[in-house]
Amino acid sequence: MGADATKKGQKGPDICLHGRLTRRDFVACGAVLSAATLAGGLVALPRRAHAAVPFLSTATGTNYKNIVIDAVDGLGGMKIFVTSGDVVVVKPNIGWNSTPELGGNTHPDVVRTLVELCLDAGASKVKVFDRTCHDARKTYDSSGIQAAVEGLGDSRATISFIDDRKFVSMPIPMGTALTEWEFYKDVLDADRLINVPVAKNHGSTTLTLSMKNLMGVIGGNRGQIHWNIDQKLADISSLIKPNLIVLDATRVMLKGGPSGGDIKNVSVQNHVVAGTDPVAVDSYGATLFGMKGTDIGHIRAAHDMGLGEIDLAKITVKGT
Amino acid sequence: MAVGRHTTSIPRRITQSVILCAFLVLFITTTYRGGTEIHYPINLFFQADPLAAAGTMLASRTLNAFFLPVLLVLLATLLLGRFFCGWFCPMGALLDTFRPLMKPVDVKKVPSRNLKYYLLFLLLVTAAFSINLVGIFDPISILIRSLTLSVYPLLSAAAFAVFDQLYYWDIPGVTAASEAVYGVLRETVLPFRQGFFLLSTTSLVLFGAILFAEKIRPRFWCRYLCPLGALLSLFAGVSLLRRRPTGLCPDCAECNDVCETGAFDDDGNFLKGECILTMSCVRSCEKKRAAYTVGFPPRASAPSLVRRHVVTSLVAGLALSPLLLIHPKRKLKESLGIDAVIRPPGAREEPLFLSRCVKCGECMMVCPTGGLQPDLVRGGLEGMYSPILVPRIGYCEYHCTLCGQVCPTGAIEKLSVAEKLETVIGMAYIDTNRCLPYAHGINCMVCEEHCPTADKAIKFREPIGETSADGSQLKQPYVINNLCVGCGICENKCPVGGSGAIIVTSEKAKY
Ligand code: SF4
Ligand code: SF4
Repeated sequence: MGADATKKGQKGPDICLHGRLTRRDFVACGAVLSAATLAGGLVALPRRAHAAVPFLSTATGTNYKNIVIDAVDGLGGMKIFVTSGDVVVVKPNIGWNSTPELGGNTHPDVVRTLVELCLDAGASKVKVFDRTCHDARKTYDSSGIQAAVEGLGDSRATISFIDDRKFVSMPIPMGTALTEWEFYKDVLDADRLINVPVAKNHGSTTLTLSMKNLMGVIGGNRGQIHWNIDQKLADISSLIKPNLIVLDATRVMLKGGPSGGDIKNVSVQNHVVAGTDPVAVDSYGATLFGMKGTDIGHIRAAHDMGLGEIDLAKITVKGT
Repeated sequence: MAVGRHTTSIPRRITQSVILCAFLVLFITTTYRGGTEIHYPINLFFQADPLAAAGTMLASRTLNAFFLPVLLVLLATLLLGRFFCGWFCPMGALLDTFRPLMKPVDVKKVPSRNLKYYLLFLLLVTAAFSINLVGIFDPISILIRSLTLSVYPLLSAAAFAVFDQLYYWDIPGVTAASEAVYGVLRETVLPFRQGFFLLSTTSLVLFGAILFAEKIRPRFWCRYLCPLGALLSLFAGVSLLRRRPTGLCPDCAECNDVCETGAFDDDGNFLKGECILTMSCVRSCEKKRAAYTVGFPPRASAPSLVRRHVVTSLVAGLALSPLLLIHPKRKLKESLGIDAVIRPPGAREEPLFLSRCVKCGECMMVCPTGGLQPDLVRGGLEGMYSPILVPRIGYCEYHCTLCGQVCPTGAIEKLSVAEKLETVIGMAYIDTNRCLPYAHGINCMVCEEHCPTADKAIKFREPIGETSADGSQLKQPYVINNLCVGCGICENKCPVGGSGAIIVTSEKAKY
């Protein structure tokens, strides 16, 4: 895969993400996109364009701020994704009452850096939240993410608890196991969505990577999602398409997930992966556990729906 | 009897308002808003509550330094009389606040004011037998408990309903404003999450009864029923307080009408133990005869108790003890070593726990998941309103230690987080007749996902060679006995309807 292909891969964002889009612009823009993306785009977020050849940018290092910046720069920098005036949602994993070193939640430094990048790119608002599994007052605190965001002292960046009134029912046109579900209004209304999952082991889905992290923007009884979870996760990903995904693999929980709690099960990899194709990001993420994307049911299901590339041979990965 | 006019002095009104405000502020700060500690719990009020102190220390047969300030209250009572009731008690302040809003009703027949002493004796006698019923009747307990279980949840439900409706209507201008107000209220007075409590109605009815009894006589509760008032009365009876004149003047008797507690007996003699120092008589005496002084030696004034009734209350107290001994929970404990209910983490061994618990409900107020609920009868009569964990309503958050932090009497001990993680409060059992992978061959795993122990107490039998309805490998969960701490999150999150397909019991034994 040459530089040419890479450039082509970046072409989508070049068309669609520069400047603010009106809905009409968007539809016009959508005409050059795949039908699937268009269908998704009309019901929800302005979509990123689908890259013909997925490109992932990685970085490794102990300074998490720097590696996040490097990884995002590898994609062309945050200005590609966020433009002046955008309302951006940064969605980390804040689900568990667990401290940063245990790898249950996204690392606060990773979250803080992304928020800063968005602010620097001119975002008018950056909202951080997650629908947590453990008590939110605890997880926001113990994850260090609340302190990280509030510590920025920028009134444009806010971290808030989920407001139950804000879940709105949405049809999922491409969904097969899930054809309608409740989604968080702030995500649907945002100009840009940045998904910041933490890579970890999970009892029922084997791994939780970027697509599983979207469970945090849905409402309803999430217990029910667990039946036929692989297809349901893929269905959710067919509707909610982040503009940017930064997978936090700084500390990777290999066992005991998703709650974790035992430092022995955490492998420190000091690694982050940025990309726009959720299947590609997750397929790459699986390799951090010594697995392949095709080993993981929901990654396979998402690939089968045409949501992205699962074959690492067809994905360009650049970085350290 | 005419319900007299009561003039409240400004200093007393101010003191009472300050106390009531402090009480409400502390009550609100006992709601959990994040972090790992509650800094200003409302339990401070118990430090000035001689009844809770006496009942708890008697029943548990231990001295408790927490209650030291009670000595000050008793000393001051020996000096001044029942200033606590007139000036300090938040229940009294609340009653004085509500009374002017109500129209009095003319009821001739009222109970004897001695009732409160008999109740006190009964409580103390049972406490001497290690049965702590004090909290059920203690006014501070009643107040905190009623607010926690019913008043606060009701008010917040109303507030949530109003703001939600305005939010959904999305009226230009209005909704933006209401959301701004809502945001501030959420940060300050509203609970993080709506409270749902068993026994909320019962608590409200009792609390309402105390409030509305003000229609019959001012300070009805304090005059006839309050065992804390009775205890303070006994001390006040030998206090250095003196009132002049020592009884109603034959030419006036106005004092009896203006007195909030009607502190005169049928012959017009002043009853020191009934006086709560509102000074209404001093202020309203046109002839300027009424006055208070403190002088030595004290002129004792004892309540005119009826010996027969005293004996009855003592005997009733004595009789209650064996009655409580025949509760089935004792059989469970003695023959099988099983506790009937799941207590909060850090709760002492069952009988010791109940000997200290004053049923104030602070632990229920603070429990972030709402899983701590008031018991009715399962833990015995003396366990009424004591906290039990009901996992289907809320689980015990693995790293949380809040209930032990706010418990005033040490019935729930303060645990460090490290201790808490090791504390076993129960054990989970899977009902394979209803658990999805067992009963229906459908993968689920919600319980395993949520199980918080570092080495998960729920694991899967796999592969069992069957496939789930969605084509994946069927995995059947089971509980690892010696890893489970009984937090109940599995039962709480189990998606199977009705009672969960995994249930946490009070079993604690490790095999
Ligand atoms: S029962 Fe558990 S969750 Fe509830 S307050 Fe106590 S320690 Fe916290
Ligand atoms: S009660 Fe359930 S969730 Fe809690 S430790 Fe035991 S098995 Fe795990």
